[in-house]
Amino acid sequence: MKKIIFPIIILSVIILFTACDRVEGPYVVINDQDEVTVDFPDLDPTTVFRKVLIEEYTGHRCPNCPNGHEKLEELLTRFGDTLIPVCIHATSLAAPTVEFPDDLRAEAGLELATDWQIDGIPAGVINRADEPMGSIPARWLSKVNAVDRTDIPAAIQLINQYNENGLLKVNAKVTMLESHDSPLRLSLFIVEDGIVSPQINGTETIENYVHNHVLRGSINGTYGQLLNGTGELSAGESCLYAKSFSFVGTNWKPEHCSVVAILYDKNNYNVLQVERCPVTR
Amino acid sequence: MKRLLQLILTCAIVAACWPAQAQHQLGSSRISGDFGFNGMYYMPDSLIGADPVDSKVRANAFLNLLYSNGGFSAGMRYEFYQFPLIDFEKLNYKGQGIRYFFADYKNDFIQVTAGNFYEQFGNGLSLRAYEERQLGIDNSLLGARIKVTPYKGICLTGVWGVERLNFDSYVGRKDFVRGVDGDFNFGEIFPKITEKGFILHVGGSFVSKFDKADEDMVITVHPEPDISSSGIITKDKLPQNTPVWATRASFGYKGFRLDAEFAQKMQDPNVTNDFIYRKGNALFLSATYSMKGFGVAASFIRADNMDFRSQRMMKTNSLLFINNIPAINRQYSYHLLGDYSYASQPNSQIGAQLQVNYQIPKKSKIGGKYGTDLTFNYSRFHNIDKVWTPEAIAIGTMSGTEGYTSNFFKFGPDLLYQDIGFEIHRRLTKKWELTLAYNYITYNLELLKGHEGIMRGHLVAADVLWKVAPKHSLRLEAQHFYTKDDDGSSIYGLLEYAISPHWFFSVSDEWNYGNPDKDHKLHYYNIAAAYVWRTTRIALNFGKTKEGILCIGGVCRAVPASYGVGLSITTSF
Repeated sequence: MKKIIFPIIILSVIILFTACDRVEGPYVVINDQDEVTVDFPDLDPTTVFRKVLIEEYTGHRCPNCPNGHEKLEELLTRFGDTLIPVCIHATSLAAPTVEFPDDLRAEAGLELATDWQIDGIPAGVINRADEPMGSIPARWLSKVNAVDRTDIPAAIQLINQYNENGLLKVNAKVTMLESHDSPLRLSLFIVEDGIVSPQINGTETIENYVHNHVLRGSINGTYGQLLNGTGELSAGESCLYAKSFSFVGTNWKPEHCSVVAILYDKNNYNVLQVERCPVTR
Repeated sequence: MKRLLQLILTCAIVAACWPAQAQHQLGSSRISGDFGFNGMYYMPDSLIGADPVDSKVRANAFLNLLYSNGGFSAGMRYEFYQFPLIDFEKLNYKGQGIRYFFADYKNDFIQVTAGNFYEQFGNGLSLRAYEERQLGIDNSLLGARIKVTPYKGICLTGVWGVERLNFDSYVGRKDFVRGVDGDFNFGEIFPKITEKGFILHVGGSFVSKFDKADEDMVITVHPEPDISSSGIITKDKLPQNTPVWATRASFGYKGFRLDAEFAQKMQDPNVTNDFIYRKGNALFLSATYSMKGFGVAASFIRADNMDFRSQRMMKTNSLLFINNIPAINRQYSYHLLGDYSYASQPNSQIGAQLQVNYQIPKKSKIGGKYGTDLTFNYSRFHNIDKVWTPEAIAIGTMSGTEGYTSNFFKFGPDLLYQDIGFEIHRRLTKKWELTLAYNYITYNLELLKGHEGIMRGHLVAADVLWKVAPKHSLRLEAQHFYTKDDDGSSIYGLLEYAISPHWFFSVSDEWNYGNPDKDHKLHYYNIAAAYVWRTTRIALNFGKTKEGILCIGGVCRAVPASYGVGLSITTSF
């Protein structure tokens, strides 16, 4: 017995030492842009609406922010899905603390707040056309009404593909309905509804406050990417664009998330068109 | 409440009827085991954050049975955690069934085990399959183990198995662990070494996991500062066989002892290390010296990318760990330090611990009639130094690259934990004993708990024991924890009366008087009684538990706030 045990042990060790995979780099293949793998339905320009983007800057420790949320919901009731909200948690009042442990801030939102010099919240930015950026809730309605809805420069079609492994692929088709002189960028944001987390309201803390339209992050950078590489599209021309994003490692609930696609002018940031599509649809 | 009473009665009857003798002999066969029941009736308390629970009465229960006959033994454990205590439900430790069973045979030459088993190689840097019931950890392996002792002082071990994952099925698992270990005790091989007062021990282990890669990984990269893009790690770039090797040595002479172990992990991109391909390593050093009335112990640990688990996508605390990076800081039983226990950081920690014990001699002027024990302790842990590789900088993330380089002995920029402690223990008279302690703790809330900031706090504690009469003793514990950070300052008091060996009674209260939120300056009181009869212990308690963490040996789990009546019964036979 003892005579055979050593060969067995040595054999086991040899087998075990081969139990090691050595992978040579490069390990990752970077997709600057994914390939569009869906067919978009034909676009009927007469059915396209000029949708409006409202970016609400807010924070869970901001006593007046629930008033802003209320105003936003009022506008959404009035304008339906032609008004697309993104709630950006920023400024020091959005920083987590022991009592407000959830971090609802997003890197992209913080960058926008810094660049737009948002220091008082709640503040709304409508179609990024405000001057200066950020206005109080009482002015949001007039600013939304100020957008010329008859001028429809472009259309965005979105199709999301989401699989059970947490991989989202956003397919977008941008069609220019008018000519536009400046280069165009497309930003893809992820927003989440139904996040239950504490919120100050005046002097009271509401423990089970439901936060909606919360900006979780950007799929293609805070300021998105230039369409067609140059950002130039002529009237009637379309551009296909796709990006993938993995939900693995986040605590976001895909079934509560939507993609917001923002088409804007690279030079003055004015939004030409915006669209929203749920992640899991 | 009616259900609780039924439950209490049933358990009390089971415990009381249990045969008194410990172990049962049937010829040369022997049956032994132990039983544990831990139940609670939950009551909501919105102030402390104890949420209402659907099933108000919950319990964890298990029964271990062991049969042995000569060199043969077999055992099993039935666990009933179908409606577990809420702590365990949050860990997803929920289910019931026989989740531990084994058959084992051993003689002087060989030991073979089939079924579930626990095993540790060295200090556990390469393999530690263990159970820590209070933490809800059971990393037992289901498979086979062989231990061979070809010569006195030489032990060779081989293991092959699948790690337990709570109550999940083993069927369909695509991961398993295998390993070998060799342990050579030169003191036994060459008895002259021992005769001359030396200890010399060396060992080595090799543990490899297989985790099937059947899907590509998508990661987010930032090729330009404001651009996010997706990157793909194809499945052929994910190592399926990842080993850790470790080597260790112990040397001792008279009162001096030195232990060292070094381990290295090969490529193991996983969710806890952001999918980097850098090799991991860990170094553990420990030196102790003791002589009459004096002892000193110093240890050092560095762990870099050593989170080693059966599945690369597992990130839940404590699940599927194959190895264990020990926490070397001093472990305290002081209640108010419980929330600031250091949790070992297998992916990034470097630190050291020093403890000096000195006994002022008995019958001396300062030492008093019985002597006085002094203990000084200092420990400090940082994260490790990291410099991103050029490749990681280029794509804006460490994921999918070698990650970083690190200067081996350089401490990283973030202090994780520091403890400066002093303790004095003195038996004053035949009936009185006193322990006084002071600790200054620095605790990185952000990196250890995910909160914001650093907590700095001072603890002053006193423990007085009064032997009132033969078999009667009264113990008073008073603690004050002063901090301006986190939840603020607290005081704690405990009064415990024991009538040995049967009865124990205690009342305690923690008052978080310094909480920055005036609505949370709360009391957490507890009343408990326990009865011990031979190997059976029945304990009943009522009170509130503060939300916090529970750490044992540097492994921690979250403890939710709770309020209610608890019943605990343990017995062995």
